[in-house]
Amino acid sequence: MSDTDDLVRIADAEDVDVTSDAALLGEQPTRSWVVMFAFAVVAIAVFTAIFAPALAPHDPTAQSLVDRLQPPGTADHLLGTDAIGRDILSRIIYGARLSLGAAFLVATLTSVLAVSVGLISGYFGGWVDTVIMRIVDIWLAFPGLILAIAMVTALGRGLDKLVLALVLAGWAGMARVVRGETLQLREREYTMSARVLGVGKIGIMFKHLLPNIMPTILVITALDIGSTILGLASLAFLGVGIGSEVVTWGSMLSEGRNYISTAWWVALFPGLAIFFIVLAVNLVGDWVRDRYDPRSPFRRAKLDAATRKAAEEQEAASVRDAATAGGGG
Amino acid sequence: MTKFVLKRLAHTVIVLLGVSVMVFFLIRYLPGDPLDVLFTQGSGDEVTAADDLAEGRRRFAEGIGMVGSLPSQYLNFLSEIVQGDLGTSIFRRIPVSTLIATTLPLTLQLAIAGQIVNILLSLPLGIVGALKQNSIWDRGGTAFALIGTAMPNFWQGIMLILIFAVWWPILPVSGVMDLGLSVEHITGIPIVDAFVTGNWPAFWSIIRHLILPAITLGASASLVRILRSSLLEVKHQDFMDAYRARGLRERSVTSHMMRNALPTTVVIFGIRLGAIIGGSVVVETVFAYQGMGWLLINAINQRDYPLIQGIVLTFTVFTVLANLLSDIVHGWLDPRVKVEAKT
Amino acid sequence: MSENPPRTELMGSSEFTNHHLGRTLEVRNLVKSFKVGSESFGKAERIKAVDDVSLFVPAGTTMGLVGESGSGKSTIARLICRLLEPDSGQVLVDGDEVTAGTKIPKGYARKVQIVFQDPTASLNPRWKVRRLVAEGIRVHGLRSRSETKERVAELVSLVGLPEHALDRYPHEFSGGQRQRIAIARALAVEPEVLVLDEPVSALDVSVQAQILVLLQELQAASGLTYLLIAHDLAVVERFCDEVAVIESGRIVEAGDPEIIHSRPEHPYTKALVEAHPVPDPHERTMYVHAQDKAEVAE
Repeated sequence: MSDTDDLVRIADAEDVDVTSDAALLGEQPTRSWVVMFAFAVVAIAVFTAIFAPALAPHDPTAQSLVDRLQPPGTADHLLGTDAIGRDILSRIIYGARLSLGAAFLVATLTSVLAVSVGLISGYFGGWVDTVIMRIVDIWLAFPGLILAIAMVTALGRGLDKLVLALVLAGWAGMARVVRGETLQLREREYTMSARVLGVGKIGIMFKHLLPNIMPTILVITALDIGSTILGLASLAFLGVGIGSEVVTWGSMLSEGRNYISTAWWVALFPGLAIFFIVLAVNLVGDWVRDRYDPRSPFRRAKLDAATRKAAEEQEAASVRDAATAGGGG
Repeated sequence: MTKFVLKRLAHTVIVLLGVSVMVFFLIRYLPGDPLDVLFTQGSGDEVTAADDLAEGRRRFAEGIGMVGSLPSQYLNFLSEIVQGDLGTSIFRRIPVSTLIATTLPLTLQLAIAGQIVNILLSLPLGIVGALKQNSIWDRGGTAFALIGTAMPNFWQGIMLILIFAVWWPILPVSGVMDLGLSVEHITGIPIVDAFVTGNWPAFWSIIRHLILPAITLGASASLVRILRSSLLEVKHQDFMDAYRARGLRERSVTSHMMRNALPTTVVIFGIRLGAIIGGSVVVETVFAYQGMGWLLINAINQRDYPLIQGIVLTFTVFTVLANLLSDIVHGWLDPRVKVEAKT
Repeated sequence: MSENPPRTELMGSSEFTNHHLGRTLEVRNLVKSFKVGSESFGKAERIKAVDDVSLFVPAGTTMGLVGESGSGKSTIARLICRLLEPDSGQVLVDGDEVTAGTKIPKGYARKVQIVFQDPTASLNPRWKVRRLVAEGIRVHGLRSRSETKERVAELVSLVGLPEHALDRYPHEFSGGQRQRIAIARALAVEPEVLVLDEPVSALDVSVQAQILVLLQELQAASGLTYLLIAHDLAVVERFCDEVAVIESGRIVEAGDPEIIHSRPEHPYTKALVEAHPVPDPHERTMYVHAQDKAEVAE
């Protein structure tokens, strides 16, 4: 189910097109203790990834045939060992580095690419826009995971190429959203006001449009990180682009599958690690959306309240003005 | 309507052409010369003498259409795929189209079974969630979907194997049916063929083999959230209040709600069907289910480029067609779509 | 009333009188059409939004352009500011001729500025007032850094805003105050012609009068030339030296605002007058004057 996730996300982001603004109507804000839990999990995972060498009880690659397939709870091996005697806990701790680091890198680079393409397409319009949007259509025609697999196959093996492949496979959905947003903002009066002042195209794109698209970019990126972690794990599990030479949760699972009938722990723990981190990241993503997405109903409710307040104040002020004017006359 | 369908068709053709160009270049811009890779690693071709190597290389290049200028190569490629010729697998020495024809039905069978599981879970959860908004059922459904989306399906598959095949061995863990069984080839889809020919042992075996992969593929209940919010959107529209005000029984109000939420659900269903076809790659690998996704991973490990190319193309064409179909059905159900006719 | 610091002395201040002489705005045979309908089947129709419009606004005066929504008046504003490319015709400002298809002369942006209808939409919500007002000065490199700072403060007080407004975001202000910010922003590049695209129709009635008074003071002080676009003849009547009525992209009647308002000739103008009944024009004028006094008195 993980690989359909990017589509869930895109559909979520684009529901606005498919149905209407009210598509998110039924969503309730996530409860605060759930959000706290999610932030705590993410914080622990980031901490673990950074201080992996200090935290891991063993060298994640140290083999020991004497200690092979030790069950969890064995002295010195809290979560047991794998088929060649490597400590599973240490491997999970080191695996956090790649899962989080690479996912963060992919998400950042994807946003940069998608935003540049989307801004250019939306702002310049005309044939540039037509060509770029046709390319986006073609990109989105591929099932997400299949395109990533094809890209990895074309680029070759290696962590750097894997990251590049995921970026090249994943930019299109976000570029389309950014382009849509740009098209709207381009017609806003503040953009036109800047044009009349003589601000150049680059200035308008980066100084006026980009800051106003930022919330949307932030929301989509936050929502995408979870599916990126899953995508990375899927590719590592399949052994596409990256294999067991690097310690990843996905490749641990792939090895664990072969020992499932005798040593369940080899596959259980890395999977749990992926599950909890993705769940936490998705919850944080939802929280970011509720807070920063201008289309989010909660955010809208807040804005409405703010506008109402401003309007009331203004009305009060104008009543005062009128009173003074009357007095002066 | 005709105009809308024609427009969508034209768009689909353009997209498919683009897809073919992309696949063509992806395979041709492999790191280094793919032929070098193939012919220095002593792959399937048992060539020993240098002469044979060069000859083999030439024949091979010809065989996969890598001679002549790029545009002419592409035109050849295009005219061949239009005729259903996807080249020949390097390792299996069988036409790619034949390999796809035997594996695609298995993938379709699995994808449809997975989607049935998804609907069986999503429909009640989504409807109850929307009708009894904020109830414990609603919260439970949302939580279920949240957990389902976060769970890596390869891990879920492995855990299902652990539970239902290792700890409590009641279901098979790999393959399409038990060894020693076979079905007559009629449609190519084993479950249908077994049913049509009345081959009940094979039929039950196929079903038993489908259960775990289908649950893995569909249990995310990924439709819950979308179904729920499209129902809720309708629920809160003015005309629903009008129905209620007119004294319609809550039951008929609900049926109005369903009917109005249907179009959106169809679209999401279409998008998801394409995704589920893609998702089968992982699930087929976990369960050694010899469908197209399983074949793709094999082809990648063997650097069987014509086969990779053919499978990627087939997966994508199926996804595009699923989207086209759901768009057309959507347009048919919801007249507003035609007016917008968005591209 | 923090919105209205005394401005009487500014009016007489030599800094702004004759600082730069307002020049004429001339529009000759301007034409602009838009595509309507679907493009993909090649049957796109074109409608003329602006059809052979000519206008002449003498230096330091105000021309009102009145019409319903969709009459093409806002299109004219956008053509003059080069937000749209005309199909044919010319715009002349201070000897700079802008013709269809030609490159916009450098410095044209400094001569013509626009104030939009909705100040909420025309100010970038993520910028502080200081940066918003300074943008034009920086883009054209008009002043050094320290001079820019000074000039921005000067402009803000010129439009009647307190100094602490500089470090606030647009959403912290009322509609009328935002429109003042928009005016300060336009004035920053020292334009000669100001296109006012319904500058008060999004504002409360009482605030409307204040903004119109501010605009009149600015014109008196620096000799700006205004093109005021409005849908309401009543607003234009008191504020303009001349009025042109536009219908379906064509000027149907032009002349003295009082006369057009009281004795409209063209049926469209008549309809327009009737559409905005003012119970008693005399009474209405009294009210506005009362407000003027209130402001000046403060």
